[in-house]
Amino acid sequence: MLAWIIFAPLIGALINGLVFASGFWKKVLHGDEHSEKRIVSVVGCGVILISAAISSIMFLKLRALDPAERQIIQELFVWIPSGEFQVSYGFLFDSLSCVMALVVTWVSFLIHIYSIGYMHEDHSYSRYFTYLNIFVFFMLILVLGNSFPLMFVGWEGVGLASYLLIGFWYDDPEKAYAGRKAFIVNRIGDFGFILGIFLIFFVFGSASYGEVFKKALDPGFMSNIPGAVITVIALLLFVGAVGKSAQFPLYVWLPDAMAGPTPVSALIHAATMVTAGVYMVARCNIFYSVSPTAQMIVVGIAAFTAFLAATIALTQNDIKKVLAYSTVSQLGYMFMGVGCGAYIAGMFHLVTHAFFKALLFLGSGSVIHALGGEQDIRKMGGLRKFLPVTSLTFLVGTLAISGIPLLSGFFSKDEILGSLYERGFIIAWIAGLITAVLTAFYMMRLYLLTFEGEARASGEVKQLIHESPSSMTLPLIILAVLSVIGGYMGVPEFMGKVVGIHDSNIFEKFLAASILVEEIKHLEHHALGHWTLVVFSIIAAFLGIGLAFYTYIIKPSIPESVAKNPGISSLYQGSYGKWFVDEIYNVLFVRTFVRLANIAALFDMKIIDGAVNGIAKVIGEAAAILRNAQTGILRFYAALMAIGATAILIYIVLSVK
Amino acid sequence: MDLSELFKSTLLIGPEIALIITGIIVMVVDPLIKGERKRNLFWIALVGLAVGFILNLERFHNGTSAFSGALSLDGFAAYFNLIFIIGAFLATILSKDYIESMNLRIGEYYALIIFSTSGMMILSSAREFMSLFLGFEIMSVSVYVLSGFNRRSVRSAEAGIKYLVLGGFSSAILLYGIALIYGASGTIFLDEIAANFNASNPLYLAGTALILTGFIFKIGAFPLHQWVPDIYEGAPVTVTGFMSVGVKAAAFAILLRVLFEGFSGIEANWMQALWIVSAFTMTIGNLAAIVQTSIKRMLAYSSIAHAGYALVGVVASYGGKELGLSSVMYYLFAYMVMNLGAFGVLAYLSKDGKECETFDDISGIWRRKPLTAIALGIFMFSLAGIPPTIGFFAKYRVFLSAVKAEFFWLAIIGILNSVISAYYYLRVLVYAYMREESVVFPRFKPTSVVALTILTIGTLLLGILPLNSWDLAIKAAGSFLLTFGAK
Amino acid sequence: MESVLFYIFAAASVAGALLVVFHKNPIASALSLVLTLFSTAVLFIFLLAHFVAAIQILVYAGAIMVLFMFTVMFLNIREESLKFDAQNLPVKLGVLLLILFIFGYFASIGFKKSFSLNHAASLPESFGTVEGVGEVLFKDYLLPFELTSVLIVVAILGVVAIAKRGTD
Repeated sequence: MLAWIIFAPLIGALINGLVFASGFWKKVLHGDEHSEKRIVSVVGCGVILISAAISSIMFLKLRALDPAERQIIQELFVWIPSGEFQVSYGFLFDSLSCVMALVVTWVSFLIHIYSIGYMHEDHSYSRYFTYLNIFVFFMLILVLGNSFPLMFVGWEGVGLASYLLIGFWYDDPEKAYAGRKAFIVNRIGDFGFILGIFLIFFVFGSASYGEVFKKALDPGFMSNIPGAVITVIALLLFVGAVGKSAQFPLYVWLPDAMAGPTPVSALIHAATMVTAGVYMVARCNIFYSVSPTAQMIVVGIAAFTAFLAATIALTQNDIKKVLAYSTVSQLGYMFMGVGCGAYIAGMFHLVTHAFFKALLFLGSGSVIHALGGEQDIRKMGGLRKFLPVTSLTFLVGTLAISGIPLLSGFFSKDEILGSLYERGFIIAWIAGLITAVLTAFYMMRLYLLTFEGEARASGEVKQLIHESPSSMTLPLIILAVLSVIGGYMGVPEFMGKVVGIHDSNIFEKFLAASILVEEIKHLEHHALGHWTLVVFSIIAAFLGIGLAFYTYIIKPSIPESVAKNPGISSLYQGSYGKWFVDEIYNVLFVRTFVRLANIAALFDMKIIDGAVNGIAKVIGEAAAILRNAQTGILRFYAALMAIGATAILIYIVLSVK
Repeated sequence: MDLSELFKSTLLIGPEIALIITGIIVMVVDPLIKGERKRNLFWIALVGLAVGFILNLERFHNGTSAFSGALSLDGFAAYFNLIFIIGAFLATILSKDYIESMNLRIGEYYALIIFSTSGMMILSSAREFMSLFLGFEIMSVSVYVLSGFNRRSVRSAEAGIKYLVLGGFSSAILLYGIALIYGASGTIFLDEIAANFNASNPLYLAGTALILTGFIFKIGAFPLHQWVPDIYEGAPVTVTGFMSVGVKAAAFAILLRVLFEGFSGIEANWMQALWIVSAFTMTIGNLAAIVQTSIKRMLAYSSIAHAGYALVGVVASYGGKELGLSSVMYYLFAYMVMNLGAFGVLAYLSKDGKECETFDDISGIWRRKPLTAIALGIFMFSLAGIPPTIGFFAKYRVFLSAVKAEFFWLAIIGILNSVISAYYYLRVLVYAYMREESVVFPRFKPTSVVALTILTIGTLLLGILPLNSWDLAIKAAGSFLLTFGAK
Repeated sequence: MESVLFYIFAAASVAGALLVVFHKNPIASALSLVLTLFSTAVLFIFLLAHFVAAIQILVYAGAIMVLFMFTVMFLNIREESLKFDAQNLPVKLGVLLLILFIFGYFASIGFKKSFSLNHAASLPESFGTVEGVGEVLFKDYLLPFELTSVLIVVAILGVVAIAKRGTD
């Protein structure tokens, strides 16, 4: 049954791909386009619904099990039975992969539904759904596989699907380029990741989670392994996560990845694929828990990424770019969580973020759809009265991500910040708080500029603005509800006590079985208590929102004067230009690389080609000699055979002493 | 040996008897029916092979011996028989359309394929030199005739004669070796020879060398490889496919059995000799394949090269290593699938008495027959050892076993050779995919398509999921070592 | 006495074999083969294999040689077509001599080492008789015997396939 969660999307992809996207339906069966779209929608969404339903059933089954034995394993068959290196196709359904599977399948389902409306006019409708199903298939392999190689298969598979979907409109060279950029930048991370897997296999003699983690928990086994090795493993794996989950310095592909259709941005580049790195770190929690160095590096990079991306998001004018940088920043939060050892807090933020970021992206998609493809927020404004459902749900998402109390983002973000403080990562905590202020500010700015104030769209566009069809608004509403209530599964106990809930933080209790090392709750006595920390977070959220209100509603002249202020303008230009990271990379890596490539090409032409041609010439001449020996004359062959037989005879007789 | 034992032994060789009887039925029924109805002989042949296949499966479970140890019916023999029978079965299916398009005689063709297969089966289980030699000759004489089967083609006739003469020469060498060994030990049973083996007696050494020479000829390895290109090129293409996989595998089977069981006394010496033979075979085969202008001849040289790769596995079995043995066996199985496929495509593209053999004959098939082009591409990838094909895994296993047995240089030579070989395999694809077509391709032939589909799927599927096909080879290798109680 | 006879007949058989190869007249070649086969039969007698010797003469020197002669006469091969190919003759002879020399050299090295043939302890009473051969042939070596029949069938089939006219 477990396997069907994964294979249902594959079947969908095969049907949509082979029957419809291949042109079989149109050319051979002479089916019309209308019914094609209808069948593709039903198949595409139906298989995801099946997956989602089975995951839910499996979830219930899992909950029914004793907490200590909460895992369901299904071994399909042995894939590479090569001596000591055995890889089996098998799936592991424990609380961690259960959470991921539920998020992936249900959010995917909503986004599939949304896509029916969003992509309706597109000519490559069936190709789109094929890719989307392929993506879900690989994503599920990634989260449900029971070994590192299988995770790697999923890891590469989602990379492929992401590449295909970013460059979905490949007629536009810029979009095709964005697809390639994502693919290439990810390769760098994948290289680290696969090195990590090799090292794991080398050290632990196996690559399946069960055996690796069992040995990693065994003090006798671990005492023979230098701590530095584990740190290297943890860091190599993290390099993979840096690529896939868009952390500094490899985050540059994610903003460009917005070239794909907006539902794709919502699904792949916000809710699911980019969180794979977080899942991976949580899965390998044992490696990170025993290596303070790795933890420090992960938290440091994450905090820096969160802050950097937030500063860039402040000034962007493309609605999707703002959300993209926001995603990078929020992924930073997740890594801060898992990096400091609060794996459950990180996973919790992953789940809530999947809800509200998917919501925000789909909302932005609805806006773009309504405006006929416009993405620049300077040409929006005042859309609230045209798009009531979209604007309301977008506001819910904005408040949730800002960390307004009682919404989902508040609980998850607060838990991460609290954990950072409690575990002594004070600088990261401060960076997190500042980032929270910035987050609240740029998100509110985005909302205000898009939906409030006066309408800045041109006359003709205004005529055409309409609320999106129900297939698009319905997912928005559902996600908005989830963004509001999603946090209540992880209410911290100290808050629960106040309200009188005894069984609070069910999320943590459910996940605890998958975290192999006990979470260290209270490292030391600290100056600030729980509630004080919460107050800090709340202040940060309201401060950001208030600033945004003041800047964009009460005194709309501020942005311009700030941009022109000689002291601040350089900062503004820096943020607006994304701190010129792309340009720096361009100079540092791309151009250097091109130059090196030119040298290499020269080297290749002169020396390698010379050598190759030389070798080819030698080989050719040797072959010519051989060919000349092949006269076709029988007696000659017989003579050669006689010589050969004699040679063998001599060799054998002589070699025996 | 009394009567009841003879009777029991006869019952044990059911698969061989089934094939011989099928061959006789085909041969006898052939003159009785006329014209179109002769095509039905095809079905008799297939049924016979299928029966042999099923009866042979039993041996995987219950290894036994028959005729007071003259035949060892163990898993090792059963594994090789599997290769022979599947190979013959698919070659028969591929031949049906080919025979008709070439207008060859139907009855004798199928009968000879089946007789040849029965000879190979005897060979794979023989542990006594007289049965061994007779199996060897039954197999060989059949393929001599099959090579010259297309009498309207001068080159086919020439191939038949050449193979007969050179094959006879090699049989004489083999027989001379057997005589020397018999003279020295007074027995023709492998286990007794091993027990009496005395490395200071030159008769044993000379006998070993000559027997080895006879096998090397049949394998088509250096320094007795010269016959291969001429004969593979001249013979009808389906016959070439059949003998390149069947005869080669049979020769490897008997090479392994005789060397490891009979002549383990000087194992280090013949192993060194085979090391050199293997390195030269790979290199010469690949180098010569590069400059060929005929695909058929190129594949002939490639088959020399593949014999070299398989010999790497033989060398790596030094000391009776299961890994090395199983890697040779798996390699021959993989080679059967992919090489039969490659020749099958050539047979498929032959029409009206003209064979498909030059590069021009396949150029541009991608435009006209894309599925055939894909199949050809998969077989070429597999022969070149590029994943995810069966050829990759087979080669990987062979080289892995060489590294494990610490024959590093041989593994390196092998890998370098694989790199060279990619050049000429991929050249076929350049013609198939990127050139304009220059000939008219034959129409769809349903029977051959069945075989080609099976082979294509096999090449890919076993490349992606080797599953238990390795276990089978490992078990078979284990049963071989068990037969003579090797270390 | 026995060894003298052995050398005479051994030499005769080798001489016959050489004549088969080198004689220009095919009929003379074929007749030389009779000499070789006959001398070999005598060597069998020295080995007490009387039955095999008789069969050798009957089947080979008799039946098969008659067949050979018929064929040769049927084909009516002209003498010049059998002329030895004198092209590159020194090279060819040189290679042949080299091979012989090397082979002989190593054979002589080998034979200098001391070794003994494996003498069967004692021959059975019926050794070499029809009865003895029959016993061995139909009991101990029944399988090779039967396989020989298969081989002959295959050979006949092959001859038919190659020689028969028409392709129906």
